Amino acid sequence: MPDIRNFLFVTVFVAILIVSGAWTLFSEDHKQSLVENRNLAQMPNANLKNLMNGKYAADLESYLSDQFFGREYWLQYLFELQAAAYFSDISGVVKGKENYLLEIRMYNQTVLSNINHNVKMMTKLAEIVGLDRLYVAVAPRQTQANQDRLPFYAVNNADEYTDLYLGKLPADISKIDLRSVIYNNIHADDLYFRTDHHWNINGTYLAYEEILNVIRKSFPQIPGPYTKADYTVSVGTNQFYGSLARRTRNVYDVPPDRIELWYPKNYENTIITVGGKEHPEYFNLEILDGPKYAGKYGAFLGANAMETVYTVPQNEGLPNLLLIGDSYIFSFASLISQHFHKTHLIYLRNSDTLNIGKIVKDRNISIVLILTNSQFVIGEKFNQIK
Amino acid sequence: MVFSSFTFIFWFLPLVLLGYYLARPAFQNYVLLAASLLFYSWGEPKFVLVLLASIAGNYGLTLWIDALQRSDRNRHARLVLTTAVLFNVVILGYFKYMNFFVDSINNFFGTEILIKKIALPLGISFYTFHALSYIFDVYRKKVEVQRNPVLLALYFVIFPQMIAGPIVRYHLIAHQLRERQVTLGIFAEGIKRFIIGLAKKVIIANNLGLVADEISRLPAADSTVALTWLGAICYTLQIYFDFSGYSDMAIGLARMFGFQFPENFNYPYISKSISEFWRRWHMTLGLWFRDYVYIPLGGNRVSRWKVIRNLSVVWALTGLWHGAEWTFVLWGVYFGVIIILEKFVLNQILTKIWTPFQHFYALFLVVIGWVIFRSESIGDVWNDLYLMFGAGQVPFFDTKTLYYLVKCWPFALLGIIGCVPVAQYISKLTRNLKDVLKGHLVDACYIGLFILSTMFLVDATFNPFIYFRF
Repeated sequence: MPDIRNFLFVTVFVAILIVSGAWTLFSEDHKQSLVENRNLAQMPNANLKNLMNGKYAADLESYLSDQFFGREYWLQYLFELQAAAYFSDISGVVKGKENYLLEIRMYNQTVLSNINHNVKMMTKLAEIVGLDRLYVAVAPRQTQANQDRLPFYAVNNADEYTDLYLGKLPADISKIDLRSVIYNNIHADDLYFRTDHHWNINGTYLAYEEILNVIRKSFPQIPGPYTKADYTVSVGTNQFYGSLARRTRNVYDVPPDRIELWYPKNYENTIITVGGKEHPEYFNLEILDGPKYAGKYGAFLGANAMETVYTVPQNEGLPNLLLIGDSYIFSFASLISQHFHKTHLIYLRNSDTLNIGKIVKDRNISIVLILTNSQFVIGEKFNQIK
Repeated sequence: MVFSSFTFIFWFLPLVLLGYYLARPAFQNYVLLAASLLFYSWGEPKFVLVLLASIAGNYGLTLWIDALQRSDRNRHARLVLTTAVLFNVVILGYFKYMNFFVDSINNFFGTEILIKKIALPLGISFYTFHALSYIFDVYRKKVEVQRNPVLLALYFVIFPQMIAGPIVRYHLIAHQLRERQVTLGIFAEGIKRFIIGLAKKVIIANNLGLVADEISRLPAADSTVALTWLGAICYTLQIYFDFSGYSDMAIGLARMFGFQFPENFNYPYISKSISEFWRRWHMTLGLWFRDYVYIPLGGNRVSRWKVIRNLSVVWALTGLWHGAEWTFVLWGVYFGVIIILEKFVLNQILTKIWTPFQHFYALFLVVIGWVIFRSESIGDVWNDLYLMFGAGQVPFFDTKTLYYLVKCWPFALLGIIGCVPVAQYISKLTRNLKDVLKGHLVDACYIGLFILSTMFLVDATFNPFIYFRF
C-alpha cells in the first residue's frame, strides 16, 4: 500500500514539474500583460557574452517567471487567497471605506534627495522661463486626498513631504497647492476614481477653476472658468476598472468606475495633434471599448506621445500655454485648453530631458504650468531640465 | 542558480532527474557531476575555474599524503598536510578576505594601499570546508583516499549542498559516492522535504524579509522603538526560514538521488541557552569547528584558561567564516563571550530559573545577535541597539508600526508556529484517522503546499538568499 501511495505522490509531483516546464517552453509567448500594464520578458539571446556575465541566467529567470504557464490565473488565485485570509494589502493596495481602493505609501526621509532634486529643477526652470510666467501646481494623489477612508492600520504621510517640497521651492515662484480646494470638497462629491489612482473629471474641474483663477490675476485677458453648464456631459464608460483594481485583480470586488467626458462648448473647432498627428476626436473613444483592465483613463489624450497640442482657432490672440506634468494633466488639458490659443501638453514620462528654453521659444509660449500629483514630486525625480 | 527559482524547479530539476534515472548506474555519477558543474557555473561561469583548481589541487595533495603515509614518511606527510591546508586557506583568503584585510590596514594605519574589488565565488566557504574536512580525514586515516577524481569532484560539487551546505564532512558521505539506493519511498521523502524547504523559503522567509528590509531602510528619525524590534524579530524569523528552508531543500534533493545528508537545524529557537542554540543552529558548521578546530586545540580537556582560548578561537573563526566584515567578527565574539560565560557561570544559574525565562533569555540574546549580524557597520549596530532600547529620540509606537504589524502577522504567526516541533503535535492530533486516509491527505497537503509556493514564486519580486554571500 505505501508503495502505491508513494508512486502516486511521485507521479503527481514529477508530472507537475514536467507539464509546467514543457507548457511554458512550448506555448506561445505573451508580449504584454494587460493586467500589469507592462511588457513581459521574452526569451533571451544566448550569446557568449550574455552567458559569461550572468545576464542570460538572470533574463531566463525573468522570462520563465513572466511566461510561466497560467501565470495570470495563479496570481488571481493567490490574491483571492490573500484577500480571504485578511492580508493587510494586496500588492500594496487596500480596500478603504466606501469601496475606495487605496495605495499604501509611507514616505520616509530617503525621499529627501528626490525633493531636493525636484526643487533644484524647478529653480532652474524659473531661471530659464522667468518667474512671471511660471506656475507650479501640486495635486494630492488619490490616497492622499482620501486618507480618512483608509483602514485603521494604514497611513499616508504624503502631506508632510508635500509641505516640505512646497516650502523648499523659492518663495517667488507662483505655487498652487491644490490640496485645500480638494480637501474641502472631498466629501461633497467623488473627486477621484475608486479603482484608479487618478482624479476624475470632478476633481479635475476643481483644480482647473483654482489654477485658472490664479493665472488670470496676471493674465486678465484669459477668459474665466466655464461653469459646469458650459459642458455637454457624456458617459464614456460605466465599466472602468482602474490601475488599483488591475493591481489587485479586483479581488476586493469593487464595482467599476464611470468615466465622464465633458465636451466644452465649441469643442468641435479644437484641433488636436498627438505626437504631430491630428486626432479626429476630442477624446480617445476607442480605448473605452477595450477589455476589462484596459487603461481607459487614456480616453483623455496625452499618454501616447511626448507632446500633444490643443489648438483653439477662435482663441487666436490669447496666450499659448505649456502644460508639463504627469498623467494628471490629461483630463486637465481637456478643460484648460479652451482658454488659450494653443496648449502644448508635455508628458514627463515620455521624455528624459526637457530643453525648456527651446520649447518656450519655438512655440511662442507665454505661460508655463507644471502640474503633477504629489507622488511625482516626492517619490520620483523630475526630468532633467536643459 | 537558486533552488527557489523557476529555472531550477521547472527546467533544471526535471531534466537532471530524467538524465540521472535514464542513465545506466555506472554513468549516474557522471550525469550528477555534469549537472552540478552546470548548476555552479550558471550565472557565474568564470569561477568554475577556481573550483576546478581547488578540486585538482586537493586531489593531488591528498594522494601525496596517502603515498607518504604508506611509506611511513609521516613528517613529510605532515608537511604536505600543512601545504594542503595552506592551499585552501590561501584560495579562501584571497577571494573572501583580501579586500577586508587591505581595507582594515588602510583604516588602522592610514595607508592608501589600493587593490581592485575581488568578487566572491559562490559557495567558496562551503566547498573550502568540504575540502579541509576531506584532507584531515585522509590524514587521520579516518577514510580511504579517493583515487577516482570523478567521485572526489562529485563530493566537492554535488549541487544540493555545494552553495550553501549543509557542510557534509567527507567520512559521512564517502561510501554513498559509490553506492546508494533509491526507493520510491526515499524519493517521495526527498520530494516532501524539498517542498517543506521551498514553502519555508518563499512563503515565510521572503514575505518576512520584505518587511524586515523595508523597516531597516527607514531612517532612524522615521522609526519607533517598537518598529525596530519588529524589524529585528522579522529578520530573526526570516534568516531561520531562509537558511533552514534551503537546507531542507538540499537534504530533500540529495534524498532524490539517494544521498543522506546530515541535518543542519533542530528547532534552534526553542533553546534555553545560547550553548543549546548553537547545538541546534547550523549544526554541520558547529560540528566542523568542533572536530577540526576545537578538539585538536585540546577541547574541554585542558585548563580553564585554555578552554577559554579554544572557545575564543572557534568563535572568532565562526564570525569570520560568515563574512569579511568587522560586524561578523563582533558577532562571533558576542556569542563566544556568552558561551564562555554560560560554560563557567551562567549555566548553574540558568538551570535553576523558570523555564519560560530560560527561553526568553536565549531568544532575547539571539535577536540581539541577528541585529549585529545584519548591520553593515559597527556604527549601525550601535544605532540599531540605541533605537531598540529607547535611547533614540523616537516614539515608542505609531501608525506606521501598526501597519507593519498588520502586514506581517500572517507570516510571523506561521513562522512562530514553524519554530516549534509542531509536526509531532499534529501527528498526535490525527492519530485517530485511518492510516490510509491520513497518508493520502498528507500527500495532498504536500502537493497543495507546492502549488501554493509556486503561486508565491510567480508573484515574487523579492527572492534573495541570505547565506549565498557566505
